[in-house]
Amino acid sequence: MDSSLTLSLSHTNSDTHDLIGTYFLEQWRLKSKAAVRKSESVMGVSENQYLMEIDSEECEEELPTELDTLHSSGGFSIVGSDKLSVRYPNAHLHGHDVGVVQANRPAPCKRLVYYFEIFVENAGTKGQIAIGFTTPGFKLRRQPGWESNSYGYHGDDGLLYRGQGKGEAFGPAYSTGDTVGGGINYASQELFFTKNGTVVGTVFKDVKGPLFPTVAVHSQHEVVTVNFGKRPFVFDLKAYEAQERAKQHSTIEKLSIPQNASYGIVRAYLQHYGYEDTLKTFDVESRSTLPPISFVQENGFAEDVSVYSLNQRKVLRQLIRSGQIGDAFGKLRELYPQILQDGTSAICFLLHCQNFIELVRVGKLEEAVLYGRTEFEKFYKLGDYDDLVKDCAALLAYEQPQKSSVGYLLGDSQRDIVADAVNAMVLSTNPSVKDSRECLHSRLDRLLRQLSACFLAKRTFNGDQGEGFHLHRILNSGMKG
Amino acid sequence: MSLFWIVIRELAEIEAMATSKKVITREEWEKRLNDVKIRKEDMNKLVMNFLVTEGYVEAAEKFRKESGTDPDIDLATITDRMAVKKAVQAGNVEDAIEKVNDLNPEILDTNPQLFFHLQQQRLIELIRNGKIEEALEFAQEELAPRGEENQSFLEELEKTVALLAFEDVSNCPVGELLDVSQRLKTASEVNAAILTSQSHEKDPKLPSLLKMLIWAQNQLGEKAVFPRITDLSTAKLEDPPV
Repeated sequence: MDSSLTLSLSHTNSDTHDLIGTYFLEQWRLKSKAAVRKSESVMGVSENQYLMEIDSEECEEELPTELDTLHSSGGFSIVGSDKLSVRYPNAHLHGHDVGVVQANRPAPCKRLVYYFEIFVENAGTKGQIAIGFTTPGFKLRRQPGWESNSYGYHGDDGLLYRGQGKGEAFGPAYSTGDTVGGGINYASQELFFTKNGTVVGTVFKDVKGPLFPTVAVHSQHEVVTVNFGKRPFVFDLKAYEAQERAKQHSTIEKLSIPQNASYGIVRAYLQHYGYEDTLKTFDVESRSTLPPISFVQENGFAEDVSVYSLNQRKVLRQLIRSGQIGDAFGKLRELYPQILQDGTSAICFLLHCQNFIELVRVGKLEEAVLYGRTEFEKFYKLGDYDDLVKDCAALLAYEQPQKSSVGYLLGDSQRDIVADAVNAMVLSTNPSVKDSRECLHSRLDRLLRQLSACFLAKRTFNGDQGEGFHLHRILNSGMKG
Repeated sequence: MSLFWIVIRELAEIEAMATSKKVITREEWEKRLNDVKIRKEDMNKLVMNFLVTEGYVEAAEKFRKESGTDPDIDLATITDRMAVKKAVQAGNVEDAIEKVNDLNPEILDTNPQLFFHLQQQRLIELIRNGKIEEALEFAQEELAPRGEENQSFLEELEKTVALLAFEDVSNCPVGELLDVSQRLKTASEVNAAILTSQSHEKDPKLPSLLKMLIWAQNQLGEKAVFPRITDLSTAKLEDPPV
C-alpha cells in the first residue's frame, strides 16, 4: 500500500481533514493480517513484527546460498552434491586449466558488510587455491584477479591479484586446514580478506556493479568447502561490524549541536502527543537541574500549535488508552463536533472499530455483534476499509482471539493508533493550522524522517550500496544488546 | 582561438560537470519523506531513553504511565544516581563518594581516574571554603601519592594546588577550577560511571541521532542539492537553493 498516494490527494477541506484519518489507517494497515501475511511470504519466516521491520530491507536482497552449478568451467572443477564444496579433477591437466566457481547470487549490497568463508580441506599438489570476487560473466577458466574487474587472494603465494597478471604483496599464503574469508565493506568501499579469523588485508573496491563470491582450484586433489553463513564463521563478523559502526560513530560524535536541542525536541514531542502529565513534571524537574535549562522558544507559533488543547488531548488519550471509547466519543461530540461530522470518515471508522474491539476484549460478544451490525456495514460498502473490517470481525471467530492472527488488534499499540489519530484530529481543529499535514508529525518524527530519507538518497547515489537507517537497531544497540 | 583558450574552456566545463549536483525538488523530497516509516513505539523509546539517561525520574515515571513505554532501566536506580550527581553539583563531594560506594563499591575501585577527579573536586571545595590548612594536608596525604602513580594526575594536582598561591582566584590562570562548570564536569563523569556500571549507555541516544542527521545531510550534500533541516528546534524543511 502506497501511503504517499493517499497523502497527496486533493486539497479540499474535507479531504485534507480525512488525510489525517487516512494516515492512521495506513499505520494500522502496516500491522494488519494482510501486511503480516505478505511479509511472511516474502521472508518465509514468521518472526515477531520488530524483527521483520528491521530486517525486511536486508531480507529483500537474496543472499548467495550455494555454488553455481549451471555455469561451469568445463570440467576443471567438480562441485559437490551439497553445492558447498569444490574439488579439482583427478587428472593431470594443463597449467591454464583453472576451475572457477561463483556463488549462485551476487553479494547483497544494502548493508554494511558482506562476508563468506572457505575452508581448505586439501591444498592438493600445488595449493593454487583462490578466494575472491568476480563480476557477472567472468571467464570461469581464469583465476579471480587475473582478469579486469575481479579480485583474488591466492593461497600459494598470499598475493592479491586485481585485474593484472602480477599480484601485489598482501597477506600470508594459506594451505590445508586454513579457513580463509572474503568480505566487502560497503562503508569504506573496500574488500577485505581474512585467514583463520584475522583480517590480513584490504583493497579498494573499484568495481561498482554486482560482485559474486568466487573460489578457484587449480591443481590436483585440491578440495575446498564454502560457508555462505549457514554455519558460524571463524571470523568474528559481528565484532568487525561493531568496530566499523564505532568508527562512523566517532566521526559523528565530533559534530556539535545546540546545547539544549534534545531537550527542546523532547518537550515538543510531549506537547504534540498530549503527554501533559509528563510535560509538566519534565518542566518542574528541568528547572531544578544545574545549570537550569534555559530553552528559548524561538518559534512562538510552533509552540502555540502544539500547546493547543493540551489538556483535552490528554484526557482523550487517557480515555482511549483505557478502552473507554464511548466516553471519548462523548467528549469529542461535546468539544470538537466537527471531527465526527462525517460519519463515514476514517476517524469515525477508527473509533467504531476500537469500540468493537473493546467489547470483544471484555467478552461482551453479543453486544459486539450488534455493534458491528449497526456500524460496520456503511464502512464495508465504501470499499476502502474492507480489509480492516474483516480483521475486526474475525475476532469473533476465536475463543482466544488474542492468540489468533488478528490478536494484534487487542494490543496496546492498536489503542495508540486510535489515540494518536484523535490527537492529530484535535490539533487540526486549531484555527491557526493552515495545512493539516502539520498535525501529523512531531518535530522528532520530522527529524527522523529527514535522517532516514538522507540515508536512502545517499545509498541511491552510491549504486544502492550500504546501510539504511534503522532506528530500531540503534535503539537496541545499547550495552545490554 | 588559441590552444590555450580551448584548454581553459575545456577545464571549466570539466569542473562544472564535476560540481553539478543532482537537484531534488521539495515535492520529490516530501514524497520520499512520506515513504519513511518511523514507528511511534520507537520514538517513545527514544524519549524514554532521554528521560532516564538524563535522570528525569519523575517525568520518566509519568511517561511510562501516559505512553505505556517501559524504561530500559530500573527507575529506582535513577533516584540514587541523581542524588550522587546533585551532591557533587552542590559541592558535597564526601557525601557523593559515600553514596557511590553505597550504590556499588566497584565503581570507584575500578575507576582510578574518576576517584582522583572526585578527590580533586574535594580539594577544590576545601580551597573554595578557605580551609587552607585542611586543603594542604588533604593534598599531601591523599592526592600526592596517587599523583606518583600517574603523570597526568600529578599535573592536575599541581594545577589545583596553585589556586592557593593567588590572592584573587577569580583572576588567576587556574581560576576556572573554581567555576561551577568544574563541578558539572565532575558530576557528569560520576553520572556516566554509574550508568556504565548499570550496563546502561552513559549518553542518551537522541543527541547522537541529531548529530547523525547533520552528518547525513552533509554527506548527501556532496552529491545532491535537496531540502534540508538546518534549525533543529523547529525542524522546518528549507527549500533547496536554486
